[in-house]
Amino acid sequence: MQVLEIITANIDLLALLFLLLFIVFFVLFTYRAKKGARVHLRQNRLYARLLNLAAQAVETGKPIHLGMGIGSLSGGIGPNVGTAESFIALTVFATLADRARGAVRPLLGTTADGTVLAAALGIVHRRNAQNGQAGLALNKAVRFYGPDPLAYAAGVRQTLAGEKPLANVLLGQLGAEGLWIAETNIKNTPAQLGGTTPPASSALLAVSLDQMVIGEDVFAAGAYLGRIAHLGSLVTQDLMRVVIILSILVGVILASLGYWV
Amino acid sequence: MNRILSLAVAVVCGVIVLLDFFIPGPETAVASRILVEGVTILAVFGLLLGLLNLLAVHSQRLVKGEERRGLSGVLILGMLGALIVGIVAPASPANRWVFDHLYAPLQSSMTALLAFFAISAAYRALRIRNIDALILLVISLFMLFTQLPFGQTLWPELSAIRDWLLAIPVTAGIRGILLGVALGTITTALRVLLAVDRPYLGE
Repeated sequence: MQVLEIITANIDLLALLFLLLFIVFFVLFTYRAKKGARVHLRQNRLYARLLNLAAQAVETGKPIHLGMGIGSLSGGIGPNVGTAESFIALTVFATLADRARGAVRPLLGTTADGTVLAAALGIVHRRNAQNGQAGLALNKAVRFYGPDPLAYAAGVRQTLAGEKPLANVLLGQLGAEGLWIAETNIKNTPAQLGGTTPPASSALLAVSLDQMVIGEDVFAAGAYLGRIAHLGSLVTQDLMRVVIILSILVGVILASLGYWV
Repeated sequence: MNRILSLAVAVVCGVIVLLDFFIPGPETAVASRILVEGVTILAVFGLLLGLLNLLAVHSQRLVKGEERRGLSGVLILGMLGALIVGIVAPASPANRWVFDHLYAPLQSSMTALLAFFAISAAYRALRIRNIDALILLVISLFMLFTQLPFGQTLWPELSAIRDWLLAIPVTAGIRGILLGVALGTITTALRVLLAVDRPYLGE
């Protein structure tokens, strides 16, 4: 029996084994990170600048705009759903809100999805309650602009022109509307940063933003912005990448020897 | 108590849907379907929250007489108009007209503008940036040249070079990015499933 046939016949079992291995490493490294084990992070200029901008937001009183994109938390299957990217956008939103605590208006979040809006409003409400400002208007911090890329881009464009924030950060699930927002906003904000995962949108944003992250670096945001628990998951991610690389190498050898047809 | 209950609900729901994927059975399938349908209903309530948020932001701007209040007025009128027509006569020609004659042309205009935005961004990047921008521009121009009819006449091997570029380096790069994204997605899902991240608690 050929290797390919065996793999095809047991694909669900292999996926489950991969996930179980992932979970074991995840729990182990997250536990170690929480206990204070040292994790070496390479330099990432975008996240370093984000932390710097959070400090500047406190000093200047100007907000940072965080465009969380068109992704949704309501799930589904497909490349454009952006659930994981939206979770990361919310992580960045919460972390920057913590970092810029003390600022009059640290953040201005925008989204094209109602579930992301609800989660972001929850974050703002919790921070306001912790600061003894539970009565503050929530809609000043997070805004919704229609469940559609065109409506979202037009709304964000208008908001940026009116608010003139300290920086425009576009991080999450973004398509071509990311380029539209960034290019029409050059004169309104001194810094434009961000990141997204679809390869086609990444290419468009790369020419327009000052600094950006692509692919898996988007998911490393929490670890770089100081979330200790995320360090463990980042190590797991790197380790599982090595597992995938080794699997590819084994596949290449088997194919070369004629066992993989 | 609320906190523990929220955590338990989130973890149990996640585990049920995951179990249904790997070990399909009639019981898990029913539970999973109910949960997924529940998410769709919640998403609709999220949309309603979004509409209220939009209405609150722009009516405040209108009432306070802020700059660009006229645009806020147009937005509110347009939103309420489309909403009323959609509720009263969802299959009417008026509802279709809004999408065919207002929305679709606007969307097409946005798509058409993207080419100009990409060129202006590339030009700016080349002027003020580094070697990356130069590589991007050279490759873009080369790929553009390979698509032109007279390019084939000038250099017959051009299509073979283009096909090789698309099949090997471009595909390898895209697959590398997608593998990384897949790993990141699994990690993010595990963080929520194992309650390391708790966005539903505003954390």
